[in-house]
Amino acid sequence: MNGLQLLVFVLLVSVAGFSGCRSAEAIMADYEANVLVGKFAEAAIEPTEKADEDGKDALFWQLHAAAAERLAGNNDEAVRRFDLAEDLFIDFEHRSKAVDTTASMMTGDYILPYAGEGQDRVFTCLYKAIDFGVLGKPAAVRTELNRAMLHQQNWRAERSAEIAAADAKLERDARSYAQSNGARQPIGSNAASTVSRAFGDASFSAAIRTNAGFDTARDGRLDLIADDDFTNAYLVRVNETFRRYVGDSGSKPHDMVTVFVEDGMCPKREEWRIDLPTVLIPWVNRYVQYAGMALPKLVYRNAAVTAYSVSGAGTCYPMVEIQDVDRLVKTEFDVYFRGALTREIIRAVARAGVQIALGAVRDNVSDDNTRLALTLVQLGTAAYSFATTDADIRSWTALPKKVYMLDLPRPADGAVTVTCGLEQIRLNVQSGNTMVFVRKTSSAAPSVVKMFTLPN
Amino acid sequence: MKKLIRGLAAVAVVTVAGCTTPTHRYAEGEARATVAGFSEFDINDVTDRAIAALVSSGRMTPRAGAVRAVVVADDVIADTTCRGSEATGLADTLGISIRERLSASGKVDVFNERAAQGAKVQIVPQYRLRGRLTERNLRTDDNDYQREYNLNLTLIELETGLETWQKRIHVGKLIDKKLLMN
Repeated sequence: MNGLQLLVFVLLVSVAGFSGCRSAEAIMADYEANVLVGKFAEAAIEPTEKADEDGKDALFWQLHAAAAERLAGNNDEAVRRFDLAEDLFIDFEHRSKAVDTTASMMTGDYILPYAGEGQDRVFTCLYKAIDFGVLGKPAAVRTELNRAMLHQQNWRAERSAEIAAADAKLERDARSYAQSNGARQPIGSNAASTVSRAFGDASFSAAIRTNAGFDTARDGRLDLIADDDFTNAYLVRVNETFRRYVGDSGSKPHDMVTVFVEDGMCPKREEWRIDLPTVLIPWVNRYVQYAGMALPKLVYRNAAVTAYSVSGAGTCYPMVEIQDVDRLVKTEFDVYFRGALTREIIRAVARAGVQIALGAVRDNVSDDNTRLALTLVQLGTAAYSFATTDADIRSWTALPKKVYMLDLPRPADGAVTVTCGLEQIRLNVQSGNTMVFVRKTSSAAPSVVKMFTLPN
Repeated sequence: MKKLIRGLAAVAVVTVAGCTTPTHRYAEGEARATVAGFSEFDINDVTDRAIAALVSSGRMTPRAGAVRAVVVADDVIADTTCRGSEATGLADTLGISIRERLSASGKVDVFNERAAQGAKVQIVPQYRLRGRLTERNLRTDDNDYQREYNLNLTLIELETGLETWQKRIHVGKLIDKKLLMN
C-alpha cells in the first residue's frame, strides 16, 4: 500500500468510526428481549434514562419507557410519561421548521428529532385512557378517548400538512446544499422531476418493491389511502364500549364484560441499501465513488398466539380479531417511506453532484499537489457520504400486532377465563360493567391484565 | 466600535430578558389571556349564566311548608379533549361552581347524597340537576379551528322523572390549529 492509499484508508476508517455510533440499537435490542419474555420493569430502565436526558430522541424513549412501565403495572408512572410524550408531540407541532437545518440534507432523516407517527399519538391517548380506568378515574378515561378520537379524525389532514411542509423544505435544502458546495444543480429542473426519473427506472422500482414492499406508483399516496387503512378500530371499539358502559350513548347495560387482547408486537424497521440509478448520475465511473442510499423496511414479527377465547358460566366463546395493527403501521410507514425515498434520492444526487464538481475542478488543475489535495477531498466526500448514509429506523415498536375482542354477560359467580394459547387467565369480575385488557407480547411472556369496572 | 458592540449586546440581553413572563398572581375573576382550553373565567361565566337562568325560570318550587327547594347537583361530565390529568379537576370545579351558585341564590338547598346516608334527619331531594360540558372542533377555511363548548344542563323532578328545565350555555373560541391538542 503506497502513501496515498494509506492516507485514504485512514480517512475512511476515521469518518466511519466517528459517524457510525449506534448505541441506541443495543438499548433497543435489550428492550425487545426483555419485553418478549415479560421482564417489563427491566425493559423500562434504559429508555427511562435516555428519555430523561431530554435529547433529540426524547419522544422515542418516552414512548418505549411508558409502554414498559404500563406493562410492569406502574400505571401512574406510565400516565406521567405518556403526558410527557404528548408535550413533546405538541412541541414538535409548534417549533419552527427552520430549526431542521440543511444539515439533514447532507446526512439523513435520522439526525432529525423523532417526531412520532399518527398512530403513536392515537395509542398514547388510548393507553392513557386504559390506565386512568385502572386508576379509577372515569372522567379522565373519557377525555383521553376524546383526544385519541380527534387525532384519528385528523390523521389524513395532519399527514397532508406534514408532507407539504417536508416537500417545500426539500426543494429549499437541495438548492441551498448544491449552491453552498459549488456543486452542479441536481439533475433535472427540480427535485420532483429528479425523483420521477428515479421512479421511472424499472430495475430501481423493482428493487424498492422487493426490499421494502413499496410500490412507487401507488403506495404512500394520501389520495389513494382508504379510511379503513388508517382508522384504528381498536380505539373505536374501546370508545364505543366505554360510552355504552357509562351511559353516554343511551341506557346502560347491566353486568357486561368486554375483553380486549393485544397480541404480539408490531413491525419494526431495519435498514437496507441500494445504489442510485445511474441514469441520474453522469460520469458515474469517472467522478462518483459513492452514490448509495440507506432506507428502512418493515420487519414483521410472529403472533404470540393464533387464537384466543373467553369462558364463563360453562360456555367458551372464540375471540374476534378487530384490528390488524400491522396494517395500520404499514399504511403509516408507506406515507413516511414515500417522503424518505424522495429525500434519499435527492441527497444522493446532491452528494454525487459535489463529487462531480470536485472531480471536474481537479481535472482542470495542472499542479500535482493541488490535484492530490482535491483527490483527497473528493475521496473524503465519498467516504463521508458512505459513513453517514443511514436509514431512520426509529419507530414505536411496543405496539401490538393484532387486537381481539369479545363481549359477554358477566357470569353469576364472576368467574371469567381468558385462554391465550397454553396460558389461562382466571379473572374474578365484580358486579357492574367491566372492561378487561390483556397484553400478550409473545408466546414466552406471561400475559398482563388490566381491568376496571364501571357501576351499573 | 467597542461601544457599539456593547450597546448592541445590551439591547439583545434586554430584548431576550423582556420575552420571559415573570411569575405573578392575577385577581380572581380577572380575565387574563383567552386560552384554547376551558379556563377559570369560562367556568365562572357559564355557571353564572346557567344558574341565573335556572333560578329565574321558577321551575324549582319548594315543598309545601318549606322555604327552599332541595336539589341534588351532580358533578358536571367533562366531555372535552382536555388532558385526562385535568378532567377530574374540571368536572369537580364545574360541579362546585354550580353548587356554590345554587346555595348563594337563597332559593335552593343543595343535597349531598353521600353525607345524607349517615344523617339523623332524613330529607328527600326533589330535583336532580345534571350537566355535561361538550366540545366540538370545526375546521375553518384557513385551517384553524372554531371550538364550541356547550354546558348542557337538565333539571329532573325526581318524583315523576320529568325533565322540567333544560339549558344550553355556549362558549365559542377561534383557535390556531397548533393549539388544538394542547
